[in-house]
Amino acid sequence: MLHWTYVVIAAFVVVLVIRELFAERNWRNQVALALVLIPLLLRILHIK
Amino acid sequence: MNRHHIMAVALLVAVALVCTLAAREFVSMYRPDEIIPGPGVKTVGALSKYLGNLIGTSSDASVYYLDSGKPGATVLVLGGTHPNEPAGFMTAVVLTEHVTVLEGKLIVIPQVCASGFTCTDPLEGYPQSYSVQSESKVRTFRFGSRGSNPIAEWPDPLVFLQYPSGQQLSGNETRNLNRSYPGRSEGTVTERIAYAVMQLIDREKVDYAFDLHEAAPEIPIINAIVTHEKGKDIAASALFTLETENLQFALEMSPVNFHGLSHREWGDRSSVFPFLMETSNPIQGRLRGKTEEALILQGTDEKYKEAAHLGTMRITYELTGEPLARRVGRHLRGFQAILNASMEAAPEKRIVLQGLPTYEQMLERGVGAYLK
Repeated sequence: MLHWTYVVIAAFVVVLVIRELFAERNWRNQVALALVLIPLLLRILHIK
Repeated sequence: MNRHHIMAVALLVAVALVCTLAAREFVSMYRPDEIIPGPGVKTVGALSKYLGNLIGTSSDASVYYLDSGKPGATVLVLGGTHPNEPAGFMTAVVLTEHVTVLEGKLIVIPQVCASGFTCTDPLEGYPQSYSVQSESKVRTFRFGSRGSNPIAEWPDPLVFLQYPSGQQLSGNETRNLNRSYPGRSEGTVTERIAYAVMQLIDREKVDYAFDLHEAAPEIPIINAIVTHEKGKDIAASALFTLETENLQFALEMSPVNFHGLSHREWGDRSSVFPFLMETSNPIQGRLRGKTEEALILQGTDEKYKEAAHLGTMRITYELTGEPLARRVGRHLRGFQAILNASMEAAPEKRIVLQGLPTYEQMLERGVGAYLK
């Protein structure tokens, strides 16, 4: 149960980060946000 | 569309690309290693036979039964309790592929923590695999992590409460099979593996059980045999034989109050005589330099050489290196010596093996000579 709760939280964080990615105007900050997405996506997809 | 929106889309595409490329690497670790049953293997089963809820999971390990059909002792050998300790795994593979049993029964699980073979430990820079030239081809095996794959049990707790003792350990130890015995049928993935092993010991009426490990050269319990109180006479007798062959092993007693360990829980909770063996593995050490496949196979590390030369540390590192062949040879010789000692102690419980390489043969010909 806790496992899937964490997966849902990670998915929610991904949504927030993508929202920020589109709102952010500084490209350096956009790259930083994109980097954050990689481990979150790999974990949600149960790859790593 | 604004410029920063175009940038956001481009970055999302880049993220998708990186995830795809990374995923290919990570998913490749789920491809099982090829273990070719030798002439002695009569049946190949799975750990899920002893606990049904392991079926279809990455933790369902293969179990190889080498049965002579004649009465005698039943012996269990576990490799891969810690998948980043390749000598234990390779010793079990050599037994599976090369040995036949003339009396008694041998059960081998080369990758008991199968899930741990699907990833490596973070921040260690470990290679994902290593290759050995066998009689016929190049055999590649995965180099795994110390515990089960975190994906199977995410998140680790902050504090691991060992079941049923309640002993507290650091959170990541929740994925350590050798802290999880006796396990429970509905517990974490690692506890379920431990439970299945306990069930196997009971149902197959195992007399002697071996858990094959390695450790960093600077760890005090190295080149050692660890046993439960009831196995000390057998282990001491085996050590005496090994000493006469100039093979030094330390005899370590299983700590009474340290729970979850194979030698403690198997001994306390079943009729089995448990033995855990350790060899010296530089790739696990904190002093190591370049962390690559050669360090697994040759075990030669300049930093350990330097430390050994300076004499400033209590390490057992051989200046010629700690090659895989020597480590597997030590495990095999220790295994045989313990079996011989156990047959002296209980002559009615015999196990006779054919084709078991000697320590000298292993050093001379290498591990690959005993693989298919």
